Amino acid sequence: MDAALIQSIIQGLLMGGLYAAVGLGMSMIFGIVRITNLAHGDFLILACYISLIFMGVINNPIVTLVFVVPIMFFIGFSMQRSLLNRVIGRGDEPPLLITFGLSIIVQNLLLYFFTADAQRLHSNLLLESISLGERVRIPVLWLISCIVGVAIILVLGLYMKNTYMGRAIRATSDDTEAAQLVGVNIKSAYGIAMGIAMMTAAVSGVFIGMVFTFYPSTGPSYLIIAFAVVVIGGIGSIYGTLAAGLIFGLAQVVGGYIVGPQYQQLIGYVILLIMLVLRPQGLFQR
Amino acid sequence: MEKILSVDNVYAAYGKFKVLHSLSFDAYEGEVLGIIGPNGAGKTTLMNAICGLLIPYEGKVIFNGRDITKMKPDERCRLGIGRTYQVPKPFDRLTVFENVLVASAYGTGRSEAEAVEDTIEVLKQTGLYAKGDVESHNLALLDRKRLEIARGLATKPTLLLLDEVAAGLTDAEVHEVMDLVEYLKGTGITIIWIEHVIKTMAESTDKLLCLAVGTNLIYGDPAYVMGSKDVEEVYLGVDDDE
Repeated sequence: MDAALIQSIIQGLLMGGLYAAVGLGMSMIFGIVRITNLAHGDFLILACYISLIFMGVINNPIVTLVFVVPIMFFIGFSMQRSLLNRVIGRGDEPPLLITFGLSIIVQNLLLYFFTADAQRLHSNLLLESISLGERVRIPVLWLISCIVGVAIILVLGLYMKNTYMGRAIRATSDDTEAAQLVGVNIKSAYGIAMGIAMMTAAVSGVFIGMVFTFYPSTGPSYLIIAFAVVVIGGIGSIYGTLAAGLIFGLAQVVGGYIVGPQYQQLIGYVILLIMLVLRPQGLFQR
Repeated sequence: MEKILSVDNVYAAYGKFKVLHSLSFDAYEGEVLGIIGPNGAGKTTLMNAICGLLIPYEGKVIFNGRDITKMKPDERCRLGIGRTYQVPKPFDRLTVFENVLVASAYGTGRSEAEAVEDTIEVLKQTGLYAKGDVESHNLALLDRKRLEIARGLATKPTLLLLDEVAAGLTDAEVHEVMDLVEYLKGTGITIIWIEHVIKTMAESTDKLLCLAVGTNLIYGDPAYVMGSKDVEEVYLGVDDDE
């Protein structure tokens, strides 16, 4: 195998780990609250800008997570409690409209406060890489993003499996009515779930912001990646999300290597389309 | 005996479809109140109004002297109202143990650590202890029914609503579930028990209430209710064994 192919496989997998984290929060909310959060990508970018604010004081994007993550939890929790919980049980359209509205509001607020200029969360890590042989290099920042992406998936999986709140969230996701009848306050469970989903958006967002440039209007392209990950992995399956991220990242980068990098995005969407036609329930759904 | 539940002149509807009309009755502490009636009489709707899944548009539901007509189901659960479903609704992707644990913790407002002991106790009482680690979607119907009861019991109810626990089971299985109900009676929990198949329950209840088209037709001792002409009429043509 030639070095360039190996390089793209490595890069695809690394990218996939981060993609999985991008889709995680979306998948969770899809599976638990049964809401399609159309603002997921915008919240991810919002997290980038919040990190940017803290970058003024702490010149390290990873350290800003200490602030960005709790802030995003609070935003998610309040959004669910104050807006989305009001329309639970009134059909699919109202929450869809609310998240669509939020998407527009977030984008325009960012535009107002930060202008349309391209931004990046600068990190020294971006330029570093580990050499594997002569022509294969692992970019350190991508490696870290991938590890962090996989780590938050594993942590969330353990949280859901083993904690008091995690069990209630899973119970609510299995049967809302029955959960209420055994004393679970589902609105509060939904609030926590949305808060956690936004925490995952915060972490993946900050890493996205370190690897790529972003603008107030970049959110929707990450929404589509999140969508793809949810569709491939199957709704609400945490480990399916991980596998889906890896598959999607790999397909994009390796496909781009084979047919040309300008088709990289397109290949992703073609895969999404094929999945929707052949296996709309996702690869890993029972 | 103290009154534990009063249903007072309740009217309830699903959208425009009116189901309960001017329904009133009382349940007393420690008794087993059976509710019978043909299909469509409003039995399950009544359960929903008591446990909070449906809010009546008129009338009151009083539990232990407190007006709970508009209270949410999870709050009612913590007050002491437990409920089982006719068609079991376990949390499919949770294990049997976790199903009961969630009920035992959230249903009583305790931490999981405090709830574990009771969870094990309830699993033993309901004969599910050996299956604690099984994911509940793998259970057969009888065990799913047991799990319904276990989950209801784990919330430490003072009033337990049983919705057709015998439905869909073979005769041998019905006996097993009945043994469990007998055990529940022994614990002093007040039970409101709906059954379509009257034979299975008539002998184990203290009082019977027969519903017809959304209101109370007749109430009294099982023998009196079962012997009544009215009950015979509403059930006319309905095979007791169906």
